[in-house]
Amino acid sequence: MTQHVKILNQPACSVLSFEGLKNLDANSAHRVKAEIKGLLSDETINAVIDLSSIQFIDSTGFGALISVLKTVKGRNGNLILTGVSSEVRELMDLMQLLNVFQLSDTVEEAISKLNA
Amino acid sequence: MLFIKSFQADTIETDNLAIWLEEVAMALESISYHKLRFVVHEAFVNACKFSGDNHSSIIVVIRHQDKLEIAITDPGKGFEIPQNLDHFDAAAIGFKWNLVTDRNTAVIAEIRDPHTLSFHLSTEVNEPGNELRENHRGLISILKASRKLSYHFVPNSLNYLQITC
Repeated sequence: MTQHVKILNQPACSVLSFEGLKNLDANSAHRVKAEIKGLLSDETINAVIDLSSIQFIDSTGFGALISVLKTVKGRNGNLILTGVSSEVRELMDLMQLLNVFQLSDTVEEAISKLNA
Repeated sequence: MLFIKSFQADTIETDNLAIWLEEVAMALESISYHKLRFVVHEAFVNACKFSGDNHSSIIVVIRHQDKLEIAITDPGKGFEIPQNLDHFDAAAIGFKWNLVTDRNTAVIAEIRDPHTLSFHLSTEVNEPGNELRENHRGLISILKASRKLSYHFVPNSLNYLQITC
């Protein structure tokens, strides 16, 4: 089965991104959640998830992102979402999630926030 | 304006559903495609969970003045109601219960008439509801994105979820 999640380990955080995935929904979210769980080491405190390729997220997809957020918060860490399209932002607003997740425009900006 | 289409009740159909809804949203001009897709997608995925093999779900979208009415059928299992209640019993009308609690939000279900359950969100969480399950997350999402939500039991026909946006 194709792996959709890529990880790049930086000194301050792990950067996760998606390849070949447009929708984080009921069809993909469980697999993605399991992939992320397998990729994040026990030492990972801060994470960045780059959503540049994602066009649609449903409640199952948001559930997967919330699960990652809970994991890093449980380690006193932080999660920043980047590359959030206006469409996904509209859905996050609809779900009242804009104040749950921290957003940055770019991965670089997110990393410097986590380094600060 | 009325739009109607049947889809096989399988989440693999969500891509085809998205394509159809793009045409519907373009014709309606009154709702953002993303909001329409999100609401219908959540209801459709929910209907798929109630379905066995070889079932389909019929989706109807009607624009009436400034409102959008959406109906999504499922093959009949529908929503569970408390075990001691029979929604067809007139004495049960008006009964409310806490269907699920998600942090500080509860989903309240109410038997409106022998064939209708209505749902609304409440921030007054007085008693714990069921543990949050995935179909509940979908229900909460639809409630957050819509004006009204109800479920209709139709004897000898198709039950359906009705969403007003």
